[in-house]
Amino acid sequence: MAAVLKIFLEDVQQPRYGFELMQLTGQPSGTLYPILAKLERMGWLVGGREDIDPRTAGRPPRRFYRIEGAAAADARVELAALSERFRPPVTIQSKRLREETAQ
Amino acid sequence: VILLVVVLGFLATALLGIFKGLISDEIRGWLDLLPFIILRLARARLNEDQRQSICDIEWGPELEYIMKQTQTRPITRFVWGTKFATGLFISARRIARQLNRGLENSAAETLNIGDSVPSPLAGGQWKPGVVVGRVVTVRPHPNGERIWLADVDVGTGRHLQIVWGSDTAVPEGSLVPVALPGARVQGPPFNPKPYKIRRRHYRGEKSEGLMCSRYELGWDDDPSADASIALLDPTADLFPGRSLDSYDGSWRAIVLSPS
Repeated sequence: MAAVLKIFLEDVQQPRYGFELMQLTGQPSGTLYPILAKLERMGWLVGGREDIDPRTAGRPPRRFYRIEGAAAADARVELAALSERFRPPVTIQSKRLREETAQ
Repeated sequence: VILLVVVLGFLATALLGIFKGLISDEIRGWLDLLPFIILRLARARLNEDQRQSICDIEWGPELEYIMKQTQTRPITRFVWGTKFATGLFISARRIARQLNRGLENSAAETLNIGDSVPSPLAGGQWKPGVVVGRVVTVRPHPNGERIWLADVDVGTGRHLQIVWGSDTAVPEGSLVPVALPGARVQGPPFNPKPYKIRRRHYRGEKSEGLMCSRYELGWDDDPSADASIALLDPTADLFPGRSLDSYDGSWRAIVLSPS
């Protein structure tokens, strides 16, 4: 889910489509669509239909998602907090840096 | 006799060529149909009330797009179409259950499942949550000297109020890097340990972020770079809300006046 949100946060005004998100995140469709549905029902994403003429395009309009304005700031905060949880302690980082410098 | 053999040979070759073309078209037709057949099976695994709202409106048009977009590349079309439809077929039951169950978890709880965020910086220190902000209005803090309040647009539709201290105000309309609550920035030169930005009040006025200097972002090691807020170049490809998390190596290209 974090990987999907990160794509939306890269450009908050950009509508994103399922297939595009599949390619960008590497998530299979069976994993991706439940995530999109969850985020939409939580109010973080807003869904919409592509504005095309199906006869001209030769296909039906696709469904897109866009991150909801107020949710973007919250999403950034949650991702930052999540990242913090997975960040190695500073002492380990410093130790590793010293080892790399010594090499 | 020789002429007859030649004619028959020619006819046989021509027929074989036509037949090969027909077989090829037949196989291609079936291969193009396969993703749609798999999606049809996935549709059947959904609850009846979900079939139209999920499969017909969302999955079907997406598959049509995949097949149309890769029209000139039959193998790519087959691989992507089958991959897309098979993923949905495998997970259709689970998706149906999840959508029925409804949502009780908050976004934060859901994020805590264990899905980690890859760092956008190669080898650098990650400062997630730093975005471009546009300073909309600036006014002096009512309870202090050389303290200012700014309303900043960070692309979310709601302006954030940010307090900062300086001899001079940041011009209205400027683009600045804004660390949102939760982001980490470098501490001041006398104590450069990174610290976390939080929502807080300064002399009775709330502050919902930090307008950052180059030093605070780790862009510039020179302590003098901490003296002023970094003004970003409005002609660069920047807009309110754009993430600056990946700009570590190229900050010079977007900072207006690194002085």
